[in-house]
Amino acid sequence: MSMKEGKQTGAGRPGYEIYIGLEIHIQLLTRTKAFCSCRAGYGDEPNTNVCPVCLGYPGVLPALNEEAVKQAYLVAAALNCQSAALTSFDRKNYFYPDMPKNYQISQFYRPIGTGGYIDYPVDSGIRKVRIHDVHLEEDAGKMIHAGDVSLIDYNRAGTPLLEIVTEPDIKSGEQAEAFLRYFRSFVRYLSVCNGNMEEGSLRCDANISLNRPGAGLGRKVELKNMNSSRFVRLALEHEVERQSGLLDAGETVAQETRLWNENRDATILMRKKEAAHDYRYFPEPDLPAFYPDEKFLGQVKQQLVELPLERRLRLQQEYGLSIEAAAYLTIERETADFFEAVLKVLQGGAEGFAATVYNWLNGDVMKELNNRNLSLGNSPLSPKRLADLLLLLEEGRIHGKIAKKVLSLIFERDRDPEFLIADEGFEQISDDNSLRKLIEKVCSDNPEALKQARAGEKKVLGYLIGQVMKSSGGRAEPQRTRNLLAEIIDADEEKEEKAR
Amino acid sequence: MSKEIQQGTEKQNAHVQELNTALGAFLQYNPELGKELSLSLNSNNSDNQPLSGMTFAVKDNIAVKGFRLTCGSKMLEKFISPYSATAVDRLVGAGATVVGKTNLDEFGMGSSTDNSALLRTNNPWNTDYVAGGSSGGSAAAVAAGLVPFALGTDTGGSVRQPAAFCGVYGLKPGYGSVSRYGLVAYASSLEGIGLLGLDIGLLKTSFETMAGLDAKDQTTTDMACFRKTSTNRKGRVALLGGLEGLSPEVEEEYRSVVSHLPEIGFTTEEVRLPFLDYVVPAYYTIAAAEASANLARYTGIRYGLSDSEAETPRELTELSRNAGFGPEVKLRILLGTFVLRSGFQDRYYLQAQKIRSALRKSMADLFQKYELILSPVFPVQAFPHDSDQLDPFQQKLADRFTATANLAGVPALSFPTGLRNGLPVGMQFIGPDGSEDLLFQAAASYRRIYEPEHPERFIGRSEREV
Amino acid sequence: MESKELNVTAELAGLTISSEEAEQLQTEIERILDYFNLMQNFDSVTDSKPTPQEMQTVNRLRTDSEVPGESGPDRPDSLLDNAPEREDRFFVVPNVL
Ligand SMILES: [Mg+2]
Ligand SMILES: [Zn+2]
Repeated sequence: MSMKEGKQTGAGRPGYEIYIGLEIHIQLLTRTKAFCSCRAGYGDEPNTNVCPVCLGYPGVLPALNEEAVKQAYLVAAALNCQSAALTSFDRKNYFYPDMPKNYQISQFYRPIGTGGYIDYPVDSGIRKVRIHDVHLEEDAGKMIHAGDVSLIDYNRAGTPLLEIVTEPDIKSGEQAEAFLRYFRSFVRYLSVCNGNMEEGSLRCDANISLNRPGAGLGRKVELKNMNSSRFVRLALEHEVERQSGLLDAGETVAQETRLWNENRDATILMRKKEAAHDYRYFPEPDLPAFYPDEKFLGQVKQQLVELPLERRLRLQQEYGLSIEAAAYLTIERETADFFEAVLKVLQGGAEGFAATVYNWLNGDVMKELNNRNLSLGNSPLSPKRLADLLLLLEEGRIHGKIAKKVLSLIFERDRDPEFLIADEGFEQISDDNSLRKLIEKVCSDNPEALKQARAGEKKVLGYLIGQVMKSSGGRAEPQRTRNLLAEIIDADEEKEEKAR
Repeated sequence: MSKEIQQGTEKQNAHVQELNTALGAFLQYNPELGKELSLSLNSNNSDNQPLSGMTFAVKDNIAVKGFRLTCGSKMLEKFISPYSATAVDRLVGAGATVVGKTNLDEFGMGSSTDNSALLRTNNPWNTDYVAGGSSGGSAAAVAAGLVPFALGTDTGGSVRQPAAFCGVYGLKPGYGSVSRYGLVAYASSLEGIGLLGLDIGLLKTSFETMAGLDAKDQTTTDMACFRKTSTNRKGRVALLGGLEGLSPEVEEEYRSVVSHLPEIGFTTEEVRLPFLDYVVPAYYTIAAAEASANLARYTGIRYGLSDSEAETPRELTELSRNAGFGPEVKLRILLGTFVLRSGFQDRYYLQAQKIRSALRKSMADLFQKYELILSPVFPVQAFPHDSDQLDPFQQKLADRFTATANLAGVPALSFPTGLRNGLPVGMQFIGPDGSEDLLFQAAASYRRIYEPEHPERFIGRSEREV
Repeated sequence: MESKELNVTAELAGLTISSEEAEQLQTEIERILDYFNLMQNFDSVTDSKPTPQEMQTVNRLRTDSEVPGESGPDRPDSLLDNAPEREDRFFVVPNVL
């Protein structure tokens, strides 16, 4: 389904009010698990990052990870939540083989953050989603289904998850997709999650209900198994169709959990809401309550950064960038930081350079990075080097084609542009004497062309310029070359005329 | 205590084995394994550590690396612990050696040790009688002199009641005094590792060795924060009213103890502790609720008894649990699950928590005026195996004196006060947060009135206090 | 407690109850719940309901660093050895589906 079709689907059901809420789980970027000192790493051999605690052995106790709490408070603050002056954990009870204790340590009664909101960009506008709560919990292990048996790897069990629950403020699948794209950027800015939905470090469940306008929330359907923001949109759009179809036909929507099936492009029933579905939350007695003190909150505050949307708006205003340019530059904090660092080196002329820097970052720099599978952070291109390169271009010491060559060389050789230009002899030839010598040589090598040029054939002039460029290794300054060549041709004509 | 006696020669070990056959105190007796553990832990193997040469037994719901950790349950009958409890590590680090693991009511649920799925434990004073529970194996081992001290666990009286039944001292430390890391959880917010022994000095040293902050148990507290003494309460003992239902022997003994207290410098006053009637229901509600979650981990997947015929994970869980748990354990899991269910939680679990905080508050108020509280440990003395004197329900009701301290989280110490009909009787002192030392002092003072001893038939290798 | 409630409870508890057990368990549980109902007579004057989590007022947190030897490739094999059913380094259960 294309974006266009999606929009039509959303707009095609004017008779209903749509309420969509999201439950987002993010894997926090801590070194160790939430409640034991096992490595919180992925891709290791199965069941190596495990210990008696995260395997739920008899007699073990959880020990809360400070960094996980800090990151949770950071996200709560960035989401404009009320941060809990006292927070504590609860046990959520249900049996499942991937959960060693058969209860999940989570937060129910006193979550870390409550009652916040987040602004996100959609369709060149800005929308608000209210946040119900932000709570810290532990992840489960992974199961691989293999024929008669399922294999369990508990490496992931006990790693810290932050759950963010939104109010049902989203109105379409398209908005949900835009929200998730922005949220990914948001958590990456805060350095609390790598935001990878395919790998499951950012997971999203959705709930959706439809109702006649003014009738309030309808019967909620929960959607799971959507491992990209696109699938979230498609699943929601499918549900809008399905539920409005039911309602049109005078039927009711059952309160149930459905799974997105990407092969069928549809949601399918997972389970009906059962009475026996009772998590029996109660306070986790093994963990004392946590009271953030001023020092702790100070440390959290220090890690608050300008968020992607704020930054986008500032870049637009400060540098006169277009929405597209500012949006591109602010998706990743690394890019925005790099962009601003380049402009800082360029200082005075920064504003004039903004669009140029954007074009370079969006164009050749990105190409180089992609080709070499690098990111700005770990590439040999520093903001200073890019700024220097742009200054060389600006000063006319090199021209555009050479600049691109130098950029490649920076990546290849990890040297400063100034050095590379000298080393490669790349500096532009722009003094008249040197250029004249080059041109005279080309003219005497191409007498036939010279003749035609003198006969007034414009095309041939271009050919001769090309020959000069070629013989100079591309270093001849193009405009000067053109002027001088024209001079020489004219001069010769004059000479000949005089001779006649 | 001389070192030769404590370290145990082969001959002495054989003697202990023989006595244990009659007592059923140990589920696993293996001093060699204990020595290996000591060697692996004790880099500084000097003779002048606080507990050098001392041996001890560990209740089998406390982890000791390399030893089994059965919890008296078929579920964990063959389970070998890959790690040690912090308390055990600290004792071994101070020079003591584990000799074995002692019997208990399954997962600590019971008051007789007859709820063990693996072994019957007899009272050394009369082997037809129960040793009490759930730390019955530890109490019997200490009373019979098989070890100078032993670790138990106390959730609602499980150290103090068997200590009283077997005529030894039993300390339930304040909540958070001793790390629970390695104690197989039954009721996390109520239980703790405690000590049983006949030598108060040794118990004090052992307690001080085990106690204190542990990074692996974030509910442990820094004992230093309690060290403040007040003189206006000195020697004032509150006597808990509401003593109806005591057996004639226990009641007589209690009156006798009260009458002797002035001789050792205590003044007594009867008090009425509000909410005492609610202690047992609140205690059992919370204990069962926590147990239902704590015992959910036994599903036959990662360790323990596992049903090999199961065809789904759900079946594996149910069949393994049905086969692994005894009736009392299942009963408490069901009860605990029920009191947490939505629609019932407010009436039971939440109400119990309210009672608990009110009780804790009223205890704190009491300790503004009194240094200690005195009460019986249990309404009756040790009872015969399979007697119908107390059915399981009545045994639960009988926990009211002991469970008070667990609900409030304060320390309590049960001490032997004499023999009636050839069986021991014990009373307990309850103190405020951080008062363990005071409890030892009070019990030591009472030795001037009554000096406890081992039963004649069983005198193992441990000597009486020097 | 009705037998339906007992079955729902058992399901949540990861247990099954045979019909022989059911009757006796139901009597026993009802007796205890009756006794628990005593708690309804308690009417607290204070409306504070602190949980045991608040008994301690000092923050306890663990530093986010690995402890050598506690987990990792050397440690866990002894943990895997306790598994009733194992395949390579995986724990095994009958297929969920
Ligand atoms: Mg969650
Ligand atoms: Zn671990």
